[in-house]
Amino acid sequence: MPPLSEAFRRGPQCPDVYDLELLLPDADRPVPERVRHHVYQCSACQKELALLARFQLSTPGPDERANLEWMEQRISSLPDAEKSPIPWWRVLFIAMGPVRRWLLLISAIVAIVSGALQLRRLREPAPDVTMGRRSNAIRDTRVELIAPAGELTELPQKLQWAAFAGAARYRVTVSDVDGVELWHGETSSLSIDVPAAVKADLLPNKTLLWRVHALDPDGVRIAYSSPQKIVYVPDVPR
Amino acid sequence: MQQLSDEELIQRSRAAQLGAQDPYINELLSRYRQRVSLWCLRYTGDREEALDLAQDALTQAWRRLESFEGMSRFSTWLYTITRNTCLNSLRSRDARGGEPAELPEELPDLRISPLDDELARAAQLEMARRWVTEILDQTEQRVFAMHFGDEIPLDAVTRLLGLRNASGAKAYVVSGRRKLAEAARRWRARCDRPAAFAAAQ
Repeated sequence: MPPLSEAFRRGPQCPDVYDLELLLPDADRPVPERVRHHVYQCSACQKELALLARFQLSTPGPDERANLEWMEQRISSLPDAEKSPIPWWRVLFIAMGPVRRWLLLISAIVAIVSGALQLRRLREPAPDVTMGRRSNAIRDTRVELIAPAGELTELPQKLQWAAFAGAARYRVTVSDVDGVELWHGETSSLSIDVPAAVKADLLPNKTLLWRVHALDPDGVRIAYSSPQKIVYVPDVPR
Repeated sequence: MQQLSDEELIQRSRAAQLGAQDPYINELLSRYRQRVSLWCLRYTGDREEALDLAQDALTQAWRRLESFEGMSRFSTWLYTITRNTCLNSLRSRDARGGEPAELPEELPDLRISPLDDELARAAQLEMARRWVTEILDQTEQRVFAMHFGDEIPLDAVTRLLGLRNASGAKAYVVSGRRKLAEAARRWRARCDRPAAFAAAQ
């Protein structure tokens, strides 16, 4: 028997905070009925919604202003640890002095130009085999996902997408809504079986995202899809 | 730059690839610096600890910005990072032997099914959820969910919910407990009535 305190904890059936956002007054999308119904009967979700609303509209009270000002004076937008120091080559460049700097710059330009001329001489002119198709390839930079998408009444067996010109392999990733990758796999075909680990993560009403990256024969990414949201909503008989 | 929306700032930052000196990200994070700081301050009640947490939350947001897919508002995404940073800090403080989160005293026993399997457990939990939403008022529910669900100390609950009464969240715990105990007593009396009736016959 579950202790009563569990009734106050968020569970796997609770919608994520991105769905709760839709219940805020200025939401720009409609709220799914299952979300509204669940939140109405769940203290943990009502709490989460209240805290989200307070975060969105937070204004300091009179007793908080002094501490907040103290913090604001010390906090930086980008943390110091992340601000990269001046790279070594730039330090060396500055230390050289103006005359040496110019000499280095001119000799670098000469070396690049002569190298390029040499390469041009070695190469045979390659025939243009694209026959005007090149513009299409450049324009088409997205991998199109086919299935699954949205709310699913059964656990998905396969992830499927459309072929992308020039792709030798496809890398498929599944992540949670915070962007944390749960699984990835690679294939040369246009579908991949959903592994048991992903099915186990796909708890009822939990949202996962999947996307596909197209890789060329060298393994370099040449295109990718938008993330596709999937939610497993078991069809419960009534 | 101030006229740009959060999402436009992120798009421009991704297009420009300016790294740590990115003015778009600076603008974006400076918009939320106060909110994050205020949240951490309410959570800890101590400005120095709050400063560390706020800096940590902003660092994580900056590092993980690539994973922001734009499927929600940026502010909601940042809220989850800030909330998790604060909760993790609280848990690691407890793990180091700091002030333990107050645990509930004996709460009423909801013995509603003799079945001891997952399905029965889920059904019981669902019923318990409905039961508490019917018995407790909205503020009591929020206080209970934060204190007994997330194990947030009562003084932090008072600050985070902006409670202005004299004893803050504690008053709601007392009143909520009383209501739950009374409801459980009525529940048990109702369950025992058929058994007593059968015994009398």
